[in-house]
Amino acid sequence: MSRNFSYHDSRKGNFAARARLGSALMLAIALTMVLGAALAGPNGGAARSASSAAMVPIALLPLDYDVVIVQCNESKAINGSVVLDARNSTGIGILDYRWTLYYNESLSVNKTGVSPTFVWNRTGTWAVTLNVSERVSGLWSTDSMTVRVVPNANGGPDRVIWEDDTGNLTVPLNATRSNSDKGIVEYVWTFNYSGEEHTLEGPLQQFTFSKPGRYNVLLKVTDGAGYIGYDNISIHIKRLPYFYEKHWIFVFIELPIIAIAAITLVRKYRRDKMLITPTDIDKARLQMLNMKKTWKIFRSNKTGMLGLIVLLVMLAMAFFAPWISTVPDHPLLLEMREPKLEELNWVNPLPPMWDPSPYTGWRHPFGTDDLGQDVYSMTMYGARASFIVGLVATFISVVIGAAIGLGAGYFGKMADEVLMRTTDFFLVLPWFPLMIVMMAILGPEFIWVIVVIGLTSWPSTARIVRSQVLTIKERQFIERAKAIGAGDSYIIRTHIMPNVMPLIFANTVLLIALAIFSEAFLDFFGLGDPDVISWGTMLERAYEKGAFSNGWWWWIAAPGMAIVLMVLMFSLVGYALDDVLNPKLRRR
Amino acid sequence: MDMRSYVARKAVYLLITLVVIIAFNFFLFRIMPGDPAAVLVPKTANEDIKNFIREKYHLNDPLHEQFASYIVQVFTLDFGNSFSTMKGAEITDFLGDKLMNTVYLVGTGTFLAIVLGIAIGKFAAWRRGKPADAISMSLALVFYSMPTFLFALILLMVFGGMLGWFPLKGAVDENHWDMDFVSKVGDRAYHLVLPVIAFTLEIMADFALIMRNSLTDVLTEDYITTARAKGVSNKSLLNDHAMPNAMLPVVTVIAISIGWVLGGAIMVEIVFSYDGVGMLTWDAVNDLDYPLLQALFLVMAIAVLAANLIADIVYTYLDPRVKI
Repeated sequence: MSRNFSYHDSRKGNFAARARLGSALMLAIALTMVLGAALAGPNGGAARSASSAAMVPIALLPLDYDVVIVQCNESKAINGSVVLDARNSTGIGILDYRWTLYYNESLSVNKTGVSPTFVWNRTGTWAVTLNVSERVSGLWSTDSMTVRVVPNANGGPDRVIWEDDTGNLTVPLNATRSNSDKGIVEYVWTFNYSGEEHTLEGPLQQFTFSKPGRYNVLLKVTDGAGYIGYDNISIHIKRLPYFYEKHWIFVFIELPIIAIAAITLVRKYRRDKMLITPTDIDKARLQMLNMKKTWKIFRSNKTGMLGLIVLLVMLAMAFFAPWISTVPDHPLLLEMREPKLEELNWVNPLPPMWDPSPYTGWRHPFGTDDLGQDVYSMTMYGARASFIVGLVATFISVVIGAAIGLGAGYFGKMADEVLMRTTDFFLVLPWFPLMIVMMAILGPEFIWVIVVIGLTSWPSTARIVRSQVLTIKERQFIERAKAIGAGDSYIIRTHIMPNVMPLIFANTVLLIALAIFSEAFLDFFGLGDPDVISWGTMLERAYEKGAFSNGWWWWIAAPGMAIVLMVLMFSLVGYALDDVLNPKLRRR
Repeated sequence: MDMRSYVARKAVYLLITLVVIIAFNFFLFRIMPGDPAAVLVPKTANEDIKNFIREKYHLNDPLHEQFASYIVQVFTLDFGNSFSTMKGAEITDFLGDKLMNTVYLVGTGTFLAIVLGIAIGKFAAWRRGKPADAISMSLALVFYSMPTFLFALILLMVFGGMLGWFPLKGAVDENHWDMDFVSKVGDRAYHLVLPVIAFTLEIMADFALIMRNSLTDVLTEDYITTARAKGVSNKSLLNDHAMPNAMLPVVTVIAISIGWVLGGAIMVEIVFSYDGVGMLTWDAVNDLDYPLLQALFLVMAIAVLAANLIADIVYTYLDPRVKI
C-alpha cells in the first residue's frame, strides 16, 4: 500500500468512512437536543464493526509530508517536530505500532506507539515505514511514506506599511533567521515591482518601494546539500488615506443623519408656525406629557438607569479617547512604523509587563502588551469600535428587518408568505457559522464586520415588526385614513411607523448588545480588522501570545471587563425599555 | 389531522428548507466577490492539483451543471478533499469522528443547561423580588453578557493552568487509543469536564432568564389566583398549574437559540483545543479551506434544522391547543 503524493489517491477506507459519517450524522441529529450524552462508547465504534470483516489489519498513514526544519544550528538541539499519525489504521484487538525512520545507512531511528514524536533534524528525504500487527493473532501489514525535509526559509514577518510622504520608502529584507543543518549557501529574493522582475541576492537586503501596492517577495534559500526552501512574504504599502476614507463613518453615516434631522426639524418648525391651532397645541402638550411620563417610569427603574449612566460614561470614553489615553498618539502607530535595518535583530526583552510607571507619571496604568503597546490607551480606543459596530450594524439590521416586516404585515397575502418564508429560512440558518463563512470569503475588513453582522441579525426584528403591524392594521384609524383616500405609503409613513417603532425600540437596544458580542466573537476568531483597535482583537492577541497560560492578567482584565460591562449595560437598558414601552409587562 | 401526518408535513417543509440551504451553500461560495476557482483551489497547489480540483468541482462547466453535480455530491456524502487539516484527505473520512466528539460536548452541555436553567428560572420566579431572585438573576445576566471564549479562557487559566486539576487541551489523552474500554470512558469524561462547565453556564443563563420571565408572567394570570383560592398547595400550584403554560415560550426560545448554542460550542472547542467540529472550523478559516468550510456549514445547518423539528414535535405534546 505504498503511495506517492497525489490528490488522485483513492483511499481504501472510503466506504467504511462514509458509513461512519452517515451513522454519525444520524446520531448527531438524534442527540443534538435530546437527553444527555452517551458519554460512553469508544470513538468510531461504528467504523470498527464496519471494517471488522477484513481479516488482516490495515495500516494507514496520512499522505506524504513536506517538513520544514524549524530551527537548527550546531550546538543546540533542534526543535522542529511533526507528529506521525497512524490513528486511521484498523485491526482487531490491541495493535502494536512499529516505525522505522530511515535517513541513510548510518542514521535510522526506530519508534513505537500510535503517534510518536520525532524531530526532523536533517534536510533530505526520510523514508518512514509503519508496521501494524494484531497482538492476539500476530497478523500484520505495513505502509510507508516519505518525509521531505527542506531548509527553513524565513524572510521575516508580512508587513503593512503606510506610504511615506516623501515617496521613498526603504524596506529592509532580512533572511538571517533561515537555517539548515548543512548551512545555507545561497539566498535569492525575487519580486515584481512596477512591471519588472527584480532579483536580489544575500541574506540582508533593502529595496525602495515608492509606489503603494501589495508586493509578494519570494525568498529562496539553498543549503549545502542543494535542498531548497521557500518563504513568501507579503509587503503591503498602503496609500495614505483620503479624508473621506479616514472619516467614512462621519461622512457617510453621521453627516446624512444630521442633515436629515436638521431638514426635518426645520420643516416641522415652519409647518407648526404656519398652521398652529388649539388642537395642535393640545397634541404637542399631550406628547410632551407622555414623554415625561415614560421618562419618569424609566427613571424609577434602577437597573435601567445604572445601565444608561454607565453607557454614557463609556460613550464619553470613546469620544475623548485621544485626550484621556496616556500614550497620546494612536497606539497602533507604534506598530505601523517600519523598524530600521539595525533595529531588526533587536528583541524587546521586557513586554508584556505590569509596570504602571516606567517613565515619569502613570504612563502605562494597565501595563503593556507584547509589542509594548499601552493596554489602557488601547482599551479607551476599543470603545470606539464597539460603539460603531453596535450602532451601525443594528441600524442596518433594523432597516432591513423593518422593511421586510412592514411589507409582509401591511400587504399580506403573497408578499407576506414570500417574505416570511425567507425570514424563517434565515432564522434557521446557524448565524454564527454563517458569519464566519461570510467573513472568511470577504476578508478581514472593518466595514465587512459591520455589514455581515447587520445582514445576519435582521430576522427577529422582521418578525416583531410584522406582528405589530398586523395588530395596528386592523385599528379603526387606518380604515378612516383609507376611507378619505390616503395611499399606502402615506399610511405606512404617518400611521403605522410611529406606532410600531417605539415597540421595537427595546428590541433594538438588545440587538446592539448582540452586535457587540458578535464583533468580539469575530475578532477573537481572527476575522476582525487587524488595523482597528477593538477589545476582541486585544483578547485574540493575548490568547495567541499565551497571556492566559502565563498569567499576564493585566493584558486580559481591561478589555475583558469592558466587553462584559458594555454588553451587560446594553442588556439592562434593553430590559428596562421593554418594561416601560411594553404595557403588558408594566404591571409586573 | 393526526400526529403522523403532522410530522410528515413538517418533514416535507424541512426537506424544502434543506434543499434551499444546499442551494444557498452552493451559491454563497460562488457568487461572493472573487473567482470561485481561486477560492476553491489552494493558492500553493501546483498545476496538476489545480486541474484536478477544477475537474472535481466541475468549475469549467456552466453554473447549472455545477449545481447539479454539487447536489449529487452532497447526497452521496462526497464533500471533496480538504487542503488543510489532513492534506488531501477526503473530508468524509474524518468528519464523522470530529462530529461525534462535538455531539458528546453539545449533548451533555445542552441537556445540563436546559435542566439547570429551567430549575434556576423556576427558583427565581417563585421568589420574585426576594434576595435569592436578585442574586441568581444578576449572576445569570453577567454570564449572559460574558463572551463564551472569555469565560472558557478564565476557567482554563484557573483550573487547568494555576491549579492543574484538569487537562489543558484535547478531547482525549495522548495514549487514549491504547487504553481499555473503562479507562477510555473515564479519559473522555475527564477531558469533558471543563468544556462542559463553560458551555453549560453560558447557555444556561439565557434559558434561566427566559424561564423566569415566562413564569412570572404566568403567575400573575387570573387562573393562578383561582387555584390559590381553591386551596391548591404551593408545590402543586407551581408544578401542575403554572409550569405547563410557562414552558411554551421556553421551548420556542430553546429551539431558536440553537444557532447561538453552536456558536458557543465553536468558541469552547477552540479555547480547549477540543478536537471537534468547532476546532475544525477554526482550522478551516485559518487556512481558507473552503471545501471543508462548505461541508461544515451544511452539517451545522442540518443540525439546527433537526433541532427545530424536534422542538416543533415537543411543542405539540406540551400545548394541546396547537392546531396540528
